[in-house]
Amino acid sequence: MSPDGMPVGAVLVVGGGIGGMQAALDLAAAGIKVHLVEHGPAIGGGMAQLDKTFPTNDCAMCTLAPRLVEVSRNPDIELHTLADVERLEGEPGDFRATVKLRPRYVDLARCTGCGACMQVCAMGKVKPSPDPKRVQPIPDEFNGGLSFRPAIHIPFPQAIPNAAVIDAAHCLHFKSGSCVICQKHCKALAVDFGQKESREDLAVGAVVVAPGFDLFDPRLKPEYGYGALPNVVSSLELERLLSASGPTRGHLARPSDGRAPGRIAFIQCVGSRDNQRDYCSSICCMAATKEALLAKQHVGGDLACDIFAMDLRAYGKGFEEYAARAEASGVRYVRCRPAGVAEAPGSHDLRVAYLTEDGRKVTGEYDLVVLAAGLAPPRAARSLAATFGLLLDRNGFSPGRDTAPVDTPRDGVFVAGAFTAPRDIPETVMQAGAAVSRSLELLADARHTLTAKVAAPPETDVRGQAPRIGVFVCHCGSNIAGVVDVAAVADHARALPGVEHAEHLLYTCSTDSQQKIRDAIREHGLNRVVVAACTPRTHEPLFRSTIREGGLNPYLFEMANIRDQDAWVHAGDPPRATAKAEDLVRAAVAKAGLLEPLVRRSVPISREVLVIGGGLSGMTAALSLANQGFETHLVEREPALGGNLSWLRFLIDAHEDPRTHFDRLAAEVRGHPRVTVYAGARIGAITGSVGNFETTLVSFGSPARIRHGAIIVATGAQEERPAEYRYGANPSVLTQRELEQRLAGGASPPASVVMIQCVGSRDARHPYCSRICCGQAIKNALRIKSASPGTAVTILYRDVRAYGLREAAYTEARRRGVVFARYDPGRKPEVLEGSRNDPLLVRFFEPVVRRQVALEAGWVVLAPAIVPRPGAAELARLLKVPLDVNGFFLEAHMKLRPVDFAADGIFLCGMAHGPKTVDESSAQALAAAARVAGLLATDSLSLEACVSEVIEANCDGCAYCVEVCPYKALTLLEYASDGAVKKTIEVNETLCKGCGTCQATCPKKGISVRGFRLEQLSAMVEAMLPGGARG
Amino acid sequence: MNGTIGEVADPKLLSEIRAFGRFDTDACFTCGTCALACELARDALLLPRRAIRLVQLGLRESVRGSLDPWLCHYCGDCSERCPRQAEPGESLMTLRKYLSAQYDWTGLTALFYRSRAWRLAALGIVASVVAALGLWFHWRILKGDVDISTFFVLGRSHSVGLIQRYDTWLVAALAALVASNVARLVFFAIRDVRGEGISMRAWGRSLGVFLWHFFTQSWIKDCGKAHLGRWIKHLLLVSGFVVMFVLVVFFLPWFQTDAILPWTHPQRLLGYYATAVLTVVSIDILLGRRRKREEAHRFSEFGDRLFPVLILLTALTGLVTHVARYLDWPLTTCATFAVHLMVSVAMLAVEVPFGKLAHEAYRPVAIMLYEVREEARRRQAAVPG
Repeated sequence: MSPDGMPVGAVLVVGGGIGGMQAALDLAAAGIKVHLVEHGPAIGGGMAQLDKTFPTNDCAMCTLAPRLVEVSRNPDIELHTLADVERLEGEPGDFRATVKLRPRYVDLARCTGCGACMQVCAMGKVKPSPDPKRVQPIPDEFNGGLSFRPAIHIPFPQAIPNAAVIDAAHCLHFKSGSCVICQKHCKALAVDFGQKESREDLAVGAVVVAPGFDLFDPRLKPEYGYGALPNVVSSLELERLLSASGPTRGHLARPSDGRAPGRIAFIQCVGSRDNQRDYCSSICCMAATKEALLAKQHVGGDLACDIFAMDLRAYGKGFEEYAARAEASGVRYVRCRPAGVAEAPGSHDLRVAYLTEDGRKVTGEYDLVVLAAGLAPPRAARSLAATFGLLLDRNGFSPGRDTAPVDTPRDGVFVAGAFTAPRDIPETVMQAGAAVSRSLELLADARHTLTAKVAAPPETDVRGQAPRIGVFVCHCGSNIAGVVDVAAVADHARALPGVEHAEHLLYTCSTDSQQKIRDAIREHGLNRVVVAACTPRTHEPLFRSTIREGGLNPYLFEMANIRDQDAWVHAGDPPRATAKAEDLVRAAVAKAGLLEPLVRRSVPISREVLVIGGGLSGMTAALSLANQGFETHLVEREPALGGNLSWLRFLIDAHEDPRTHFDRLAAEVRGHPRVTVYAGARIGAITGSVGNFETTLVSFGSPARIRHGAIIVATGAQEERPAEYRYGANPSVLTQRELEQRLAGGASPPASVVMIQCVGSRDARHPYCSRICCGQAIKNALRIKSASPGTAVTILYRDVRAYGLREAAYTEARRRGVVFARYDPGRKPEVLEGSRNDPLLVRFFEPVVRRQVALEAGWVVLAPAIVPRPGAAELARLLKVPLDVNGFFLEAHMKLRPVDFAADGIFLCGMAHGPKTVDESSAQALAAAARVAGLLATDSLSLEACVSEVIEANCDGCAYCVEVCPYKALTLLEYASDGAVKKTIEVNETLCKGCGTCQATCPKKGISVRGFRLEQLSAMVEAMLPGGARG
Repeated sequence: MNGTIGEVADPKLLSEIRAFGRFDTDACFTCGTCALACELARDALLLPRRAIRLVQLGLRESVRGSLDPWLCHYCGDCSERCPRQAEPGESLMTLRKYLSAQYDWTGLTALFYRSRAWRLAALGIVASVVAALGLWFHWRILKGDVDISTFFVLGRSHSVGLIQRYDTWLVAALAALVASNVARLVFFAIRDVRGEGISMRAWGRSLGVFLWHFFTQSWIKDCGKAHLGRWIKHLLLVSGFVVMFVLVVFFLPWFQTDAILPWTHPQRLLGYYATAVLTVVSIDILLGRRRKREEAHRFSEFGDRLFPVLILLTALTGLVTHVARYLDWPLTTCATFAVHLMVSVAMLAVEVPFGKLAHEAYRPVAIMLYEVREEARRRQAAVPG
């Protein structure tokens, strides 16, 4: 603490990957200054190298790029690249970090990222040579070494900072001292060979460590031939081969001869799940599934893709369905671990021996073999641990505890992302949010003390001016330019009436392109901007702030979606796709001419929060928010708090006691002055909108009304009652939950226990994986073995989904004699009545020995499906938020917005979002709290400008619109005017979403949506019709 | 529900098998790497995966009838590749010991494999009996005033005759024991073979298979090129054994003589060949096990070392006896011959039916049954419809 007891209102975030970026953005939103320290020359982390993301096949760069730009333009995030933290001193609230900055040899303030230096660098012209003594070209890390790069380079087109960096280890200047060609060619005078290493001291109140992961080097498994056989590639390399911005520009070609492969083998668990690395890398099964699907898209449906995995670990939300889709489209999963890869004599084709499902040993020939190189802890793990006082496990990861997933032994230092355990993007985002919440609990009083005040150039008044429109056509790498002739579209636009300037750019959303747009506004005196690129859903906010920075009102902007609505759907017909792009641009230009400046109003908001659901997630979120200074209302339908946490007796980590955690949480929640608990209460009605909700609670007493600014949905999920395996008919058939209670109650286990997994999950009724049951079965099996080592425990499974560090518990269970046996969903086990000693007999077909096996069992334990709470659908209706097909709440974006709803001000966490474990629920709850903290950081909220507006002259108060408004944003007013009663409509601008239903309903043109007025829309239609306003 | 309920698992099986040696299924997650690493593994023979899985599941009947462990020739490739270092090769080794104990109705195999003391005691008892018999006879002869100068000679009829008589009894007894155990092997395994329409001719042909594998153990060379050396060593060892066995059992009067023969005489050449092979190969085996470099020998322990030690001792004592005889040192000849008899008889009596050497019988029988079964399967598959 500083002498006045006020903590430092700044946080050090270590690592600029997706986790570090999320933490930085959430912290900055909540009024905290962020120092983002990145080891490499650019932020973006592993996600930047991905082509698409599972399970939605969204373009990775398209979701990441706006976020990169957001980080770079946030005035409260200070980027330190090529930087490492050397020392951390001080105490929570008042740390001093020493950061070592390695030289970039390029002045960040001067470099424009134009790339001219890359064109001239001598090292960029070196060709590979078979003679090892000759100078070899530099492998491009970003492309997994599949292409080469110059010594001075911009790591990737969308890199932030968008500036070059000199790789001194390969630069001729540093080798011989003579070459200065890049310096000569740099018009910005940015190259500075004289830069030296420097150090900087940063004062921060808390630290978030999110350094990510490194990939296992498959050369360490020589049997798979990586490095020796040209057509054996890593999964990251395949990702780059599939990427439009990759070394082959998205044409899938195998390295040896550039041919498109006809058969691909994916070998999983290379460098995971062995004795040296007793963990599962968590992401590879889905990554392989995605790559197989994408490869089939690239090459054609008859491309054969075989995925060799011991277990298919499709445990996350939407994963099982994704894998089922892959299987339906011909991707084959083979459950075995190939022992090696060999080349067929006389060719570079590859041979992989494998075991088929029916127990035959087969050798397959493949054109390409893809190794799923596992996630390893960052190489710097040891030094990070020493610097920040972290504990490392035996693998080198730094896991938190189940009940405090991002905490470390050192107060004020938090961990997040793949450094804690192998995990995917959404879980990394959740953990980053959790670390933000934990930091904010510490620094609540210091919010807004170090953040910048926003200063944008004054807005140019464009009223009365004739339109001077600028049109920017995006290549989107090859996403658009691969189909649409973007130069022709730009030429077409240039000739349209009102268009002053038109050009085409590689990525309109990259930083250098943003600068080009701002420059064009100034140079050409533009007063309207049209971008023809992707979807406004993801990119409109970015471009709006770009033109705002260029001095224009942000609503003088229009987008034409020539990617999703054109290039992607008409990939087979480029000439007509180009014509359609021209139509779309013409329409956008026509509308742009009629755009008017709009102003976002700001309204005062309530800074209180409603948390629905008093289980682990709800209590965790409520408590964190209260600790961050927010008044929190916690509503629980049951008379007591606790949810599923109230019956949990053990965790997979035997050192953790969920009872203690429950007692502590419940006591703190009940005792906290800023938490009000409404137990035994239900939501009656919710009105209002972000910042100003009003909720009516129905309880045993009188109804209560709460005003609040945000909502967290944490209603959880529950075990479904099994309808098979003699459950209910024989008292010795129980669920995992009942088993846990029995064991906790001291019941002594019988001589034999049989567990059956996937009871009601992964079937036609519940096509998803219930995620937690494998861990739960292993946990309880270990408990049984501890209590009664002689008890035989058999777990009948379909795939053992012991993802991440749970693999070690799976190993431990086998070590202690638990037998795991796979069953096929087509031949489910049968539970039969047994004898007096063993009340049950379980019969199943064992696929390895291909025999019917009968197990005598004292208890048969079922792992039922985890299903949403019965009230979820009703609550979704009240909140007007969506559910997924399985009845769980659906987040705004599966990768980057896992705790947000598409609707503002409403967030979700815990099992309401999907089945998850204690540590995952805790992290997501804290992440939801962090999002709320960002939303409610100040007393006011600026509203959407594109909302409905009543045109008084036309409105006669018929109120047709009132009925149809889905957001209840319209009310009928009656007033006396000139002695007569007049009627009109009033719009509640915080509720209105600008959906336009009112405008479409009104027979009198008496109401319209700003930015979507009827004349603007008809101008668009006319421009598109034949004979419209062509240039 | 149809038919039988399937084989009932017995969770105690694993711990029983572990009494015979290392069986590390702990770390195994049935990934199949072992079967893919194994050059011998093929569709109907997923070595070593299926046998290990039977044990993990506790399928006692199936394990007892399993031929797979005998089909493995322990090259160690599976153990080298196993991502969990579960040592599947060693598990099959243990399983072979367990199975030997199951075949042996006397229970002695089980006793000897589980207890080092009992094995040593058995060897000691047999050796003592041999020594006692020798002393008893000689004491009788001495009492009968035999000419001492002519007594300490090997080729005398009293000695050769007696030894040959005992020899025959011993071999007959051992053969009967082994045959009864082999019969049990066949009985346990026949469940898998029965009912597949195997003709008498196929059974007849299989006798050739048995003999071929008995003498050559040619599957070792199918373990892969890297293991060719091991096969040659094994072949040499078997040839030495067979030569010695034939000489001692069928040609003892010709082999055990007092005559001083020229070194080119076939009797001497055969004797030298067998002795040299047994000595060199057993020393090589012992050195290999001591270094424990090869995967197959990483876990070799007392029981595995005892057998080559006995071979080496037999060969060496035989050699010393021979040398002493040619140097005409009667007392030394007689004493070393007694030791030679003690060691070799003990080895044969204990190791042939109850120990390591039994595999010479079980392996070819198992291969024979396997091939008969495969032949039947092929024929069934070939029948249209």
